[in-house]
Amino acid sequence: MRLFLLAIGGTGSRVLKSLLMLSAAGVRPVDEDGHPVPNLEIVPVIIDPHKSNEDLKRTEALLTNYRSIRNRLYGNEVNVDGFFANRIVTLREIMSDSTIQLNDTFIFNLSAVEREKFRDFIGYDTMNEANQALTSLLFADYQLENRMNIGFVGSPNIGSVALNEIKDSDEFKALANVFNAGDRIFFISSIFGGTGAAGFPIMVKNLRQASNLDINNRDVLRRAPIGGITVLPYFNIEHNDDHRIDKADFIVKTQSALYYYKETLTGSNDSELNAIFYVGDQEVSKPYAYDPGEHGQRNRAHLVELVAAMAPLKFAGIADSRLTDQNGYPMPTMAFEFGLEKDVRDVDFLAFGSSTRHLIYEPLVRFHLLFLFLRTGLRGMIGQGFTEDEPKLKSDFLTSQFYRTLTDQFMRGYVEWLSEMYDNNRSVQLFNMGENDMSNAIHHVHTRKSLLGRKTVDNNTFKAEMNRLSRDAKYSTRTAEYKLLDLFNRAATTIVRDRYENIN
Amino acid sequence: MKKIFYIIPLLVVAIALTMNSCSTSPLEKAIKQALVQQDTTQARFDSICAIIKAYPERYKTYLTDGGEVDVAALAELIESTGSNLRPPMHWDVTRYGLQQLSLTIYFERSGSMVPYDAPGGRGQLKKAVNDMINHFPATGNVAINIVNDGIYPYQGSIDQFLQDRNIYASTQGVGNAAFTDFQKIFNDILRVQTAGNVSVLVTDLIYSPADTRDVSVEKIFNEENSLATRIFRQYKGKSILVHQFMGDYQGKYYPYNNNPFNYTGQRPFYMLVIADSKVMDAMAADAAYAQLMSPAGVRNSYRFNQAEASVDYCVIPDWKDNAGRFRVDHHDATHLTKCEGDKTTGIICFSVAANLNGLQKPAAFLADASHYQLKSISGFTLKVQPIDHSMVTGNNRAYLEGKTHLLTLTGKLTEPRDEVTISLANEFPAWIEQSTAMSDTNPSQPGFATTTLGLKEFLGGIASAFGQGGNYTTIKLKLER
Amino acid sequence: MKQQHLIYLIAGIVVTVLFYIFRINAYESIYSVAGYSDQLYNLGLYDMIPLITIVVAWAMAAIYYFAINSVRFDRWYHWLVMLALTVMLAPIAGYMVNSSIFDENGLSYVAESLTFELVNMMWAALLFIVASFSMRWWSTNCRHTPIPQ
Repeated sequence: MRLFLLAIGGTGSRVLKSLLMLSAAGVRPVDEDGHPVPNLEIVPVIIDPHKSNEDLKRTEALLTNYRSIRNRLYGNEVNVDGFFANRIVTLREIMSDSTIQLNDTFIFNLSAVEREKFRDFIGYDTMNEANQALTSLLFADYQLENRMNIGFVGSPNIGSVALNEIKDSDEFKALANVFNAGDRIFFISSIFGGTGAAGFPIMVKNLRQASNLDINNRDVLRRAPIGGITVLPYFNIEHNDDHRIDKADFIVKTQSALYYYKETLTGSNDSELNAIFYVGDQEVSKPYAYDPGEHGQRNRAHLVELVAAMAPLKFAGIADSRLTDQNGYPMPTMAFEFGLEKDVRDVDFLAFGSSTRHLIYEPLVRFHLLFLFLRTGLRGMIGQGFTEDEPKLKSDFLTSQFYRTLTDQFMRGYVEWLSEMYDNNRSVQLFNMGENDMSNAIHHVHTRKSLLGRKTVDNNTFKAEMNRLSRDAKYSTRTAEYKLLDLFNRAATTIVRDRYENIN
Repeated sequence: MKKIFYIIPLLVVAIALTMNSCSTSPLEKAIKQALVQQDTTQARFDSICAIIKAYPERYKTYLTDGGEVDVAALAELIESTGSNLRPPMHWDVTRYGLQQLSLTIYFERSGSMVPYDAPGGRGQLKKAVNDMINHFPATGNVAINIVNDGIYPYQGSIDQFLQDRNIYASTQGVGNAAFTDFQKIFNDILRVQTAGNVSVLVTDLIYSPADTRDVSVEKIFNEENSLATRIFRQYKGKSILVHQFMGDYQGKYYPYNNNPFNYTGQRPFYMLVIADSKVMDAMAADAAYAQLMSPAGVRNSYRFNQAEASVDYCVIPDWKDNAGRFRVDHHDATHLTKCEGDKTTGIICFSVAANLNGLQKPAAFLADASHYQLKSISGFTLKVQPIDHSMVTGNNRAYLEGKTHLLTLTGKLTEPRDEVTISLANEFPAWIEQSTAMSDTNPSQPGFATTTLGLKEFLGGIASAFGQGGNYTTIKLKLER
Repeated sequence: MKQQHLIYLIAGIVVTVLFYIFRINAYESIYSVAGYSDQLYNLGLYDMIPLITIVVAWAMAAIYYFAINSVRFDRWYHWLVMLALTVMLAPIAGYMVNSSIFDENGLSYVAESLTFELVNMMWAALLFIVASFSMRWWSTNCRHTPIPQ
C-alpha cells in the first residue's frame, strides 16, 4: 500500500517532520489487530509555494537524509522492523512513466504560481473594470501585490484560487498515474493558514472529480480512500504592527473553514473524505515571531504536530472495509480527535493515553538511547566486541557518509525537534534534555529497582547486550550500518523492557 | 547460546584421557615409590604383597592358585616398572619367594680332623660350625651328619652338638675314620639334597682313598681331579661355595704316604656350602645368610658355578670428580651423549656407581682395580673406590643409594663413539694355588701350616665340571661425542 | 556455532592433548639437566606439573572469557593481565608441588626447579594462548580479545 501524503503549507512540513522522527524511531502504522501494515510506502508530497520557508527546507533536508539512511540500511526492502522502518519515497522514485519529467524531490513544483504576484496570476490587469471591481472587493490591495512564492500568507482566498491550478501540473498527473487500487491519500493541512486551509478542499475536490481530468486511473482515484488531518489553531503570532497574519483572524477563519468543510468534505450529503482527523490545542503555544514569509517561516515544533503525525499512521491502519463499501465507494466520513490522558502543561510519556504510549513510547526511547549511544558510546567501542563481528565496524565508519548523515544531520534535526517541543507551550519533555546518563534519560521514568539501588543503563549495558546478540546473529550478508542499528534496536528492546519501569 | 557448554564435556573428556594415561594402580605406584626411594627391602616387598592381597580380584594375575603372591609375576612387573625409571632400576625380588631353607651339616670325622678339636687348641673348627648353625635363620631345620667312609646321622640333639666340648670323642666309632670317601659323600649329599636345602660339608679336603701306600702323589692328584669332575658334572644346577679357615691343630697328621707324625700348629680346614645356584644367589642377596656366605673368621672364599650376574650401575650425572661435559641419556643411564673433554686438558672423567654386592666377593677383591678388565678404544683408566655413606647427598642419592662401588673412568675420547667395557673376570683364585701342597709328608716344610694336599686338583676338578671361566659381571657404557 | 570456531576449539584441545602426550619432550627439549630431570621423571612430576599448567591455563582462559566476560575488561591489555596471572600462577603451583615432593624424598634442587619453572612459564603462556583461541569465540563480550577476528 502506498500512502500519498500531501503536506500542505508550513504546518504540513512541520507535521511531516514529526512523522519523520517517529518513523526514524521505528514507529510503524499498525492495523486493528496490532500488526504492522504490510508493504507500506509513504510518498510525501509537500505542497507549498513558499519555497524559502525554513520549515519546509528543514523538513525536506530531513526527508532526504531519511531516505539516504534508509536506503543504506535496507535498500529497497519494504517490510522491515527497527529504526527507519517506514519506507519513504519520492514521487519520481515510484514513477514508471518516463514521459513526465519530475524533479526527484518531495516538493510539489508550483512553478506556475511561485514567480508571480497574485494580481498577475489572476490577470488582474487584463480584467474588465467590473471584474476588477469584484476582485478588489474579494482581495485587499496588499493581497493582490503578494508575491505568491512566499505562500498565501494566511489568505485562503488567494490559496484557493492558486491551488486550483494544481490539477494541471505534471506532479498531479504523475501522482494520478502511479496511483493504484489499495493506495491511499492523506492530507495534512492547517485550517487557519493560507495555503493549507484553501488547498485541502480544493485538492480533495480535484481528486474526487478526477473524471474531469485527462488522466489514467481516474476511477481508482475517484474512489481512493482519502483521509486528512486538519490542524486547528494552536500557535500564536507575536504582535506586529505590520501584520498580515493575524491571530484574531485564525479563530474566525477556522470557524468559517470548518463550516465550509462540513458542507463540502465531511457532511453527510457530500462525504468526500473517508476520514477526518482534528487536532488542536486550546492551550496556545508560545507566540511565534510574525513572519509573513519573506525571511522564512521557521516555527518551533509543537506537541500538536507530533500528535498530528500519528494521524496518517492511524489512517494507514484502518481496514479497507471501514473506508469503502462493497462497490468501492467511500463510506461516510469517520472523524477522529485526540486527547491527552492528563491535561498538563508539561507533557511527558505518562501524559499520553495508553494507546499512544503503546505506539510511540518504546520506539522513541530506543531512538533516543541510540542518539545517546552514538554520541557517547560507539566511538570507544570500535575494535571490540560486536564491532569486530562481520561486517566489521571500523573506525572509518565514524567518518562515513552514512554516519555523518545520521549523526550530524538527522540526529541534529532530532535534537532540534526535541528541544523545540520542550521549549514550547505545552512543553513536551519526553526525555530529560541535555542528560547523557541513559539511566536518567527518560523524563519521569526510572530504571527498575534491584537489590543495590536502581539498575543502571549505560553504554556498556548496550555493548554487552549487543555483543551477545551479535555473537549469535548472522549479519554477514548485511551492511555494517544495518548491523549496528539492528543490533542496537534489538538490544534496546530488551534493555528498555528489562531495565526501565514499565509505563505501558 | 547453550552450545558453549559443549566445551565442558569436551574438556572433561580430554582431561580424563590425559589423566588416564598417567594414572597408575596403587600397586604400580607402590613399586615405583619403593624403587625411587631405593627402599628395596624385604619389608617393602611385604607391603607390596599386602596390596596385592588386599585386592585379590584386581591383582589376581599376581596371585597363585593357592592365593599366595606369585613372586615371579610380580618380579616381572617390578622389572618393567623399574626399567621405565631414570636411570632404570632393578630389584631382584625372586629371593623373597624362597621357601624356608634347611641346613644340613656334614661333619667329617676322619682321623686327620680330630686334632682340630684338640682340648689344647682354640677350637676354631667347632666354633665355625657352631656359628653356622646358630646363625642359620631357621634353627629348627638343621640336621647334622657325621661323614667319613659314609654318611651317618648324628645321634644327639642340635643343642647337644653345640654344647659338646669334644665332638670327636662323643662320635667315636661312627663309621671308619681311616679314610674319607669323597665320591660317596658328595654323591650322597647332592643326591639327597632337596630344593630348599643348604648342605655344608666341614672337611680338611684331604683326599684319603683307602690305600695310598706307594701310589705317586701325581696319581692321587689325577684321581682326585677326575673324581671331582665326574661327581659335579652330574649335578649341573648346583653351586658350591668354598670357605677356607685356619684352625689350631694338635695331634697326629696322616700324610698321603701313611707315615703319620705329630703336628702342633695351624692347619687350614674348609667348609663347602652346597646348594642350588638359585638358592645360593638368594642367600648372597639376603643379609640373613651372611654367616653362610661370608662367615666370621673365613680366610678365603670362592664360589663355583657362579653365573655371570648383571649388576645395577649408572653414570652419576653430577659428581665432584667429573671433568669435561657429557649428557646422560634419559632412558639409558649407561649411555653418554654430547661428550666433550675439558676445555683445557681435553680430559673427560666420569663415575659409574655400581652395586657389586651380589657378586659375593670380598671387599678387598672388589676394591682392587687390577681385578677389573677395561676395554675401550680411547684407552680409559679406571679407579675403583667403595661408596661410603658420607658420599651420599640429597641430590645424588638416587644414583648412589644401594650402590657399593664407584668406578671412575678418566681419559680422552679419541673417537666419535666409544664403548667402554669393564669386566670383573671370574678367574680361578690365586689363593687356591697358594693353599695347595704337592706333598704333606714333612711338617717342617714351609707352608705346611697353610696348605692342603692336592687342593688345587680337587677344586680344579669341580671347576672343570662346571666349565669355569667368564666374568662375574660386565659393565658396558656407550659414549658419544 | 560456526564451524571454523569449532575447528579452533578442537585444534586447541588436540594441541593441548599433544602437549600432554609429548610433555616430557616439550620440557626437556628446552631444559634438561642431569639428575633433576630424572627425578622429575621418576617422581611423576612430569605427569603432574604439565597437568597443573594445562588446568591453570585453560581455567584462567575460561575465567576470563566466561566468568569475567565483561565489556569493561575486553581490551587486549586485560587479556594480557590474565596471561600474566597465568604465567605467575602455573609456575608457582608447579614449584610448590615440585618442592614439596622433592622434600618428601629428601631432594633439593632449588636452582634447577626455578629454571624449570621458567620453561613452565613459557608453556603456560603458550597454553593460555591456545586455550584462549579455543574458547574465546563463545564469549559474549571478549570474543574479539586479544586480537579481533
